[in-house]
Amino acid sequence: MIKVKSVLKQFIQWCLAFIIAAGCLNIVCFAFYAPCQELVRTHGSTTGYLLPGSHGVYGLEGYCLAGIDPYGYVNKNLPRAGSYYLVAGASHTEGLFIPLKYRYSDVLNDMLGADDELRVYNIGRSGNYFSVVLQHLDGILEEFPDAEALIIETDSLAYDSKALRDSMTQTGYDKDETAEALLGNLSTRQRASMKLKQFLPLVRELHKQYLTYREVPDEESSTDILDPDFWESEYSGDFEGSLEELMAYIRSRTDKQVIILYHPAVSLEKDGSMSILTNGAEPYYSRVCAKYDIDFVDMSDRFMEAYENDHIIPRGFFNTTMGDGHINRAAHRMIAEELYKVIQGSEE
Amino acid sequence: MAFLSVKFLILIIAVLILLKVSGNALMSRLILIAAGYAFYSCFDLSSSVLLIVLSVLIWLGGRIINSLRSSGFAGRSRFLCVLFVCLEVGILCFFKYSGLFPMPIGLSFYMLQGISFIIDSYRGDLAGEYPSLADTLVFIGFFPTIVSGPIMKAREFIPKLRTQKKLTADRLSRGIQLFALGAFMKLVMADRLAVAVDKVYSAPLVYSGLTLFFTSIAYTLQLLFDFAGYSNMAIGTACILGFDLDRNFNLPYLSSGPSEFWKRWHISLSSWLKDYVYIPLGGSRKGKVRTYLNIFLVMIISGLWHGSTVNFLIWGALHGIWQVIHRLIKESRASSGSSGKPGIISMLLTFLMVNLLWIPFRAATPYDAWMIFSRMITFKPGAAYYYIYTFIFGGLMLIVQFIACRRTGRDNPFKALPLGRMYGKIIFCALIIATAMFAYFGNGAFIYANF
Repeated sequence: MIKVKSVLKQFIQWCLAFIIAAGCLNIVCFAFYAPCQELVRTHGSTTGYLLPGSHGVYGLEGYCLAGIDPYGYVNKNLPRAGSYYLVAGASHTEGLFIPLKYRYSDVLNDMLGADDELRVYNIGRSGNYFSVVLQHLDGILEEFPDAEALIIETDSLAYDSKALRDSMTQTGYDKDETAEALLGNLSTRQRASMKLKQFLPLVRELHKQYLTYREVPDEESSTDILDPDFWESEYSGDFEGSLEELMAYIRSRTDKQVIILYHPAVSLEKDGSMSILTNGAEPYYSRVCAKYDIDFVDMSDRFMEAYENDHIIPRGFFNTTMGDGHINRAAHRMIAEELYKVIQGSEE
Repeated sequence: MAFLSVKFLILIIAVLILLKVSGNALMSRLILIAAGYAFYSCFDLSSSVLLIVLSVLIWLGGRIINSLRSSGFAGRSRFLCVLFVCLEVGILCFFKYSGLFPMPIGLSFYMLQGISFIIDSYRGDLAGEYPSLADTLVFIGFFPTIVSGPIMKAREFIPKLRTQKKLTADRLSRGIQLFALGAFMKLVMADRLAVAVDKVYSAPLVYSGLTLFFTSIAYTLQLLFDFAGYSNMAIGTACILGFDLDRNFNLPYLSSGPSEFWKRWHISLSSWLKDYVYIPLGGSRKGKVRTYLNIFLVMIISGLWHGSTVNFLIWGALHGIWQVIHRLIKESRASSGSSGKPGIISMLLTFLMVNLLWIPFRAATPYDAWMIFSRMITFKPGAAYYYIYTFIFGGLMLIVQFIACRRTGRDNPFKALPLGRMYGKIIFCALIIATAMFAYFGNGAFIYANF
């Protein structure tokens, strides 16, 4: 009987110890990784919102304290200007890797002299790659009818003919699918789960770690997306025709200024140089975009120049590795400067 | 089979249960042998065959040498000892340098143990109750240490085998804590630092001299956390199984000179080299010049043991030269009556020197090592990259070293937590959760498993 009591006491003590330790590390998580909650949607300008009015901490790659605006996007809590530039894209645009004021959309906003309003509105959302943004084009145009121009960000042009054509398939727009409405439609259980996740970032961190552990590849997979043979056959085939169709399609949906912002991945070479990782589609985009009066901003030369003159690497952070991952503060500034030039040019 | 896997956990639990129910010493040996080969064959089945063959050969050789020695045939015993040592070194060199076959995992470690078995047999250190074949199979194929050490000596381990301790709550608590600390050092600290080190060393010309210096410190830390982490896991596992192995690291970056560094870094290798190479060469008994030459030779052998490339030879030679110069300076100071008390400057200089010497150890080629070194000392411009985790883990190491300086006379200040007390339980749980939370998954291989 005494032994059973002792075992039971030990068991309770271990459980308590675990809870206390987990509680302490949960507090640490609030300074390290406590991402905002997501609300998924199907018919809109993006694939989802972040919880309106919430705050998040992102310290796994770079470091960012993010505040979400009342509409579910990552922006300063300022009113939108009467006419504004709309920036759409994936995680690079969402920019949860650097302090928000250094994101290219915010730097551009400052360059345009907007202090108390947003002349550049960011609807970047993780996973909303070039083709995904284009599939939401109708949603974007309907949700943001006042936008003066649309900037679509992409870090890759590796979309083959089929992918380009598929980008024209629209997801449509449901005006009732607002962040507020989605939040209102949540069941009590979903709300409770969301609150729990919000207050227990440790659980999310451990879950993410588990997924990473499970997905560790035995060998590095080769990136066949940059396979020159594949792209050569694409370029000698229907590629340019598909690209033309896509640009014509974009133009058919809107007569606003459209800017395609392309910032390629880079590779740091053993000989000390930096090279651009590309499938060689830039000239096609440049040519076709010009034909349909779409601005194509290619950051390749600017990135190379910054590296060769000032040893600036556009990607990577001091808590990850240089040359990999997302674009850093220096690249965001370069992008903002290039976009500013294009905007100024079109205004003139 | 990796230490940090479910398979390993199952193996340990199975071994503990079987050891508990096993009736006699022979059964215990057989369980340990079976576990050792089950563990080892997960890496490579054909290497397990080599391990068995070599273990049997070593046992036979040692037995003959021992009986010749005890029958008064000293010359024949000596001849056979030299023959077997040459054979073992030859096999090691064949796999290490010929490149004809992949190097069997752990060969560098268990061959040194094999040599120790032969020499200890020759010296009569195993004379009392000569080790049985089962003893030898356990000793050579002891699974916690077979992949990356610590390197055990026959005369020290085999008596422990005969007095294998029973599993107690205290032993389990100590073993698990050492294992958990080792896992934290490996998964959180070493593997995270490896991310930056690998990136910079893959294209060093990209980075500024200052960044290269900073990254050399990151590697210096990575190597310590990786190898000391592994050693802690191995010693912890052995502790659970009932064996007390000596520590392999004792705050090496607190050393105040090269000889002290080698008494604190990879202690089992340094001790092995001292007992089986330095002393047989004459040690310090044959005059100053011979002593210096012996030190230099031992360091060259240490370099060659670590790897087959010129880099390791350079690394060993540079360590040898440094040791000789340091000893010369120390001797001249001693003759002029100056005090040899370790100061913070000598610790800092030793750390910097060790740090610089790890560059050829890590660089891909001697040219790369030279280029990194020259870029560092000329402060060449380049991309700046100061990895945050180098500051964090370097800071943690400094705190531990500061505590060691103030409280334990520069000895490792870590003590087992009292898991019977609530605070011990909380800290232990926090260590486990922190490991899961901050672990870097992607490069699980231990650096020393490659040597």
